[in-house]
Order: sequence, then C-alpha cells, then structure tokens
Amino acid sequence: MQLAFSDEDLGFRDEVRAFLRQNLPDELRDRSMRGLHPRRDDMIRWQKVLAQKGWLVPSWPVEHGGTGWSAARRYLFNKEYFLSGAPQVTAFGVSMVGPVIYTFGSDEQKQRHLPGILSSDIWWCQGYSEPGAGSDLASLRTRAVRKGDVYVVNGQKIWTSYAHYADMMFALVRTDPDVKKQEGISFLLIDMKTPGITVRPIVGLDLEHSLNEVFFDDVEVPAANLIGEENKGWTYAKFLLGHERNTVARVARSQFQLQRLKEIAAAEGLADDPDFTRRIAGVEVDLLALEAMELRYLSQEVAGKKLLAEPSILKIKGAEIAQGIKALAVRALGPDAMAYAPESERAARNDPAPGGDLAHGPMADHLYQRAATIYGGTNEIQREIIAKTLLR
Amino acid sequence: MDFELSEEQTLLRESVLRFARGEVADAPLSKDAPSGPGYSPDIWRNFAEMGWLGLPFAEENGGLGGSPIDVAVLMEALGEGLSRSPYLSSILMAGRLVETLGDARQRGEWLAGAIAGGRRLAFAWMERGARYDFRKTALRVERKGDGFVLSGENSMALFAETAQAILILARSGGEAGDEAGLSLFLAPTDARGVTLRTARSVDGGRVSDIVLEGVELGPDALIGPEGGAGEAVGRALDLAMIAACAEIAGLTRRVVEMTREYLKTRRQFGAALSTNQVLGHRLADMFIAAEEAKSMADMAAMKAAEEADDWRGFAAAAMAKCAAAGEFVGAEGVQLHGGVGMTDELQVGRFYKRLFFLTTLFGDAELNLRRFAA
Repeated sequence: MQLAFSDEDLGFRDEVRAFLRQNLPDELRDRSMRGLHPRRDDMIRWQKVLAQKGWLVPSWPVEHGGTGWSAARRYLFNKEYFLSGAPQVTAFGVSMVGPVIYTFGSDEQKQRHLPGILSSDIWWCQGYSEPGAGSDLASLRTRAVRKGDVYVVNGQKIWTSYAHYADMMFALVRTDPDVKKQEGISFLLIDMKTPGITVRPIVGLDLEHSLNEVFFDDVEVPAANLIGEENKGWTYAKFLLGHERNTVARVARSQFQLQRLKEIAAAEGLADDPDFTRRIAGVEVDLLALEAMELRYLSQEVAGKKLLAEPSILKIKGAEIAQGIKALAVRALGPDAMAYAPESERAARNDPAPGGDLAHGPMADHLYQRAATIYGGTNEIQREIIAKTLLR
Repeated sequence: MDFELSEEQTLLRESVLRFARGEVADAPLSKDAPSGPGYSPDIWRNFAEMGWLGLPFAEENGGLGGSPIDVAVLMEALGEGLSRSPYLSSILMAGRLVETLGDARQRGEWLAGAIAGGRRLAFAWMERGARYDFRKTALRVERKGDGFVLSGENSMALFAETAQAILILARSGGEAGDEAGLSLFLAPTDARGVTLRTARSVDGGRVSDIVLEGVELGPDALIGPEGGAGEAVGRALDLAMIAACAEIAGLTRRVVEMTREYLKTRRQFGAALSTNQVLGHRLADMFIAAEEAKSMADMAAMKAAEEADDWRGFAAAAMAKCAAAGEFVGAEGVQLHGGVGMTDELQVGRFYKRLFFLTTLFGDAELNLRRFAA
C-alpha cells in the first residue's frame, strides 16, 4: 500500500488543472456549480475543445483516438476534470456506443460512426427501456424483422434522454421472440430521421424536458446497421454496462457539489451552526469512504482481480451521496427553497426571481437527482446483484 | 381519549374528499400552470359556499366556530386530494390573526370578506436570513402623523400577488430577535411603494418576495396593539403548523395507497412487484411513517383544541415527525414507482413536491427537533 502519486503523475495533474482553468467557459462552470444541465450547443462547443486537446475519449484505445494513459492518470484526469466544474461529457456516444462500435463493429461501421462521435457532430441517444421493460430490461419487445436488406422495426422506447437532440440511436430490439429472452435481442444503430419514428416529450418532476418516448412504426433500418451478430445484442449491452462502471461513483462530481453546499451553507449563515455542520460532515465522510472504496477497487482491478459486486456498491453509494448533498443544499436554503420554476420561466423575467440567486439551481438538481437511484439499474437491482454475489 | 370523528366531522371529511378526490372538480386542484394565480379561484369560491373558509372562525365573526380538530379534518382531506390552495396562509394564518387582533371594524371588513371568499389576505412573515424565526423580523415602521411608514423587505409570501391585501409583520421597537416590538399592518397589495416579485413555488403555487419602500399607511392599518403582536403571531403559526401536519398525514396516506396499487399492478421478471419481499418491506416502512404522521397530527390537533399546557411544544414534535415522514414517504413513493415516478404526469411526483413544500414552510424535521428541545 502506498498513497502518493509519482512526481510525473503530479506534473500531469497540474497540466490538466491549468488547461481546464484556461479553457473552461465561465458559463459552463456556473451551470455545473448550480447543478443545471449544460445547454446542447455549449456542450458541443466544449467537447470540440476537449477533442482538439486529445482529451475527449481518454480511455479509448490509442488507435481510435484514446490517450493510452495509465489507470492513475485516468483517475487524476477525471478528478481534476470534475473539480474544475467541467460538465460530464455527453455519455451516449463517447462512453456508450463508441466502445461498442470499436469493439464489436465492422470496419465499415467504425469508419462511418466513430468520426462523428469524436467530432461531437453526431448526437446519440440510448434506446433501451420500454414501458414494460425497465428493471427487467431483457423482456423488451420492440420488434425488428429482417426483410431483405433491412430490419423493419416496430415498438416503443421510453425514458430516452435527449432523443429530441439526437441524430442517431443505439437500440436493443427483439429479433427472436421464441428463445430465452436474453438470446433473442440484437443491437441496432438507427438514424433518427428515418420515416416512421416519432419522438414525444416527457415532462419531468423538474418541469423540464430531457426525457422522451420514441415510437417506431414500420421503421426500415439497413441491415448494415446491425452491430456484431444477430441475437447477440445482450452481450454487447452487458459489455457497455461494464464500461459505464468507471464513472458510477461520481466521486469528483460530488466533491464539487459538496464544495458548493458549503458555500451555500456559509452564505445562509450556517457555517457555525453545529447541527448543520454535523449534517454536512455526515455526507462528507460518506464521500471520503466512497472515494477510498473506489481507489481500492481501482487498485484491485490493476492487480488483475475481477470485480463482481463492487461496482454495484459504487453505484448505490454514489447515487445516495449525490442525492444527500442536494437534499442538504435545498435545506440550507431554508424557506427560499420553496420557490421553483423551470428555467424557461426564470429566463423570461426581467427582475430577480424570488428566492435569490443561490436558490437558482439546487432545487432543479434536487428534483432531477431523484432519478439517480433509478436509472442505470435501480439501487434495488444493484442490491440484488450484491446479494446474489454474496449468497451464490 | 377518542381519536374517532364525530358525525359532523365525518360529514365534513366526506364533503371535502368529494372535492379533493375530484368528484366535484378534478384538474384545477392540482394543475400546475405557469401563469395565473397558482390555485383555482373557482374552487376557492366553492370553499366559501361550503363554509370552509369560515371553519376556524368564531360564529359571532361569521365563521363556523370549528376547533383545531375540525381544521385538521379538513386539511387532511385536502391533502389526500393534493389540493393546493391559499388556505394555510390566507385563512389559517392571516385570517386568524385578523380575528384575534383586529377591532370590530377590521374584522367586519376583512374577516367577513375573507370568509365570503371575495377578499383574500396574504401573510408576509418571513425575512431573508431569519430562517423561520419570525422574532428576527427587522422590517421597519416609523410613525408619520397618526399613520405609519413601512420600509424593508419580506420574502416567500404565499399567494400574495392575487390577494387584495397583505398582512405584514413589522418591527415597531426592540431588536431583531425579540418577540416584543412586533406589529401587524394590513396594506392593500397595490399600495404605493409595494413591489412584488412573484414566481412559482415547487408545488405549483405562488411565492412572492416583497419590497416596501416608504409605504404610507393610515392608523386603521394597524392590526392589534402596536409592538404587541408577537405572542399572537407565534400561536397562529403553531396552529397553522398543526394544520400542515394534518395535510402531510393526508398526503402521505395517499402516497402509500398509490404506491401499493403500483406494486400490485406493475409486473417485471414475470411477476407483480408486490410479490418481492424487499419491496413489501419498503412499503411497510412507508406505511409506518404515514401512521406516525397521522397519529402525531391528530394528537397535536387535540392538544391545541384543549389548549393543553404543552400544546406548542407538541406542535414542534408533531412537525418533526410529520416532516420526516413527508420527506421519506415522498421520496420512497417516487423511487418505488421507478421511471414513471420521475414524470410530471403521474400524481406521485406532485405529491412529492407538495410534501417538500410543506416540510419546508415551517422548517424541516431537524429544525423542529431543535424547537422541541428548546
């Protein structure tokens, strides 16, 4: 066991820190600090800045644009990145479908789709959940029937984040209804402009539109857009989930939000309040434990140990801590937390909104963070995974 | 000791539930629109016709002479229907203070109008930074001739923009933090020097920050003794807090019911979610919390009705429990609904937000534990 990073790694960390300080736009930092989602165009511009520096896809293989960094450097980068207030890179292309394409896609698919991800010119969305297939994702029923050179797709997806921005969707579809449910699923890339696709908004608790329903009515998808083999889609989906693992703990993002919580508490006169200080300390210690766990698992992975239940621990605690920090932030605001309107209404005003400037953001994020224990495998499903691993 | 409702209370509950559960009017109760007053004036008129706006007031003032228990019956039923309205702030806070402290002419003008539904009052008792302690009010009053001039800022006044007048808590003397020295003034909402900044509240109602710049009021604007309103304000707020506990009891009961229905209906992995023991236990914990809230809300209302020696301390204990239950049941309700719980379309999310609002209006569980300990 050894705590310190090498001097070279620390030099690398300083370089990352300096780059972010010089290049991250204030507007993006301000929105991160408030817990507000970055705007689409700002995000694309920022991702292009990262891409130019060569830091958009650090963990990709070098031949596809990755950095070849060691685990320690990836960790340091990730931490500096989020502590600077930089927004999480849109995951659908970079962390989800990209790795699936370079791992299982054909050469033609790699040439066709990876450049759009690396340039951030193509926005992807994820077509997984369905009204009847949430936690039980493998029971999905959106049907794809092969007819000559195309798959004809019929069905419905739901909870599709930013489908209204998307140029492309990667979707799990049922290609064989007569076998064990995991064995009849395929992984398709679908152009969102194809006739027969309807995107319908879902307004969230926060009164904002980020989620959608997507309907498929005789949508013809070229058979060339099938990833890997027909009926092997579940394997690719599981690979993708494994790839997401590295970010589920969201330690640095929570550290950044913890800092903001302390600022709000101080501005609200709570810095010397022993009760409130103790509540903040509670979540801070949870976060320290999460970081220690994450580092320990990282080191185990480097040492070649296969992780089983551990990623689920990170997901559970990561989500609960993110929620806990926001719950305290809205409590720190006291009565001002009662005011909440979606951003469009706030932006339309020409006077300051009730509740003051500090109250702009925390409630939106508090409401949105309720989803953190639901998406990407609910905390109940994660506990099920841990229990099964322990009791096997 | 009797927790059962009287025949009259049962009738009251049933008639409120007919409104609240949508048999009389559906959407307007909970609909959350970006413009408009944030509540349904039509339903408010119905409330007046049913006599509910006069429920807590004495018969000689035109009310029904209802006790805190009757008010709790009404509030709980409103909670079950997610019926956001200005009842807490306009009737149970401002109305009660005008009844308690106003003279015969003020009662005749404002209380009668409030009971009839034609003239609504808002109550401005919060200041930024005071954090729920009305004794920290600093808004300044100066004498001018036989009248008054008010200057300062107030925050988070509920449904103030569409009220005809605002009951304003101000400081005539003493220091911020003193209960002595506080006065109440009734100012027309459109009085010169009054500026309101209004926005939605998280539950879809309206909150206003209010700026008063040299607002000149006549001698008849003073409600109650100059510098001596603090005691009555504290009592009115505690009574309103007990009423909010009853609403939380109604809201949490409904969240438990709708979560139960969802677990029984929603199927994953080839079976209803209700067959999953873990989820069953989660529902059981929600039910336990809702039962605690209901029991404490009832007990607090009974203590207040009897003016028991400890009724005010008990009010804090009740809110400590109800706020904790409200946060817990609301969050678990959303969680157990999964994705659909995150939508504006499903009722459970709106219950969650109303519960957040009510567990914020009088301080959260921690703050009320402190109040209880004090």
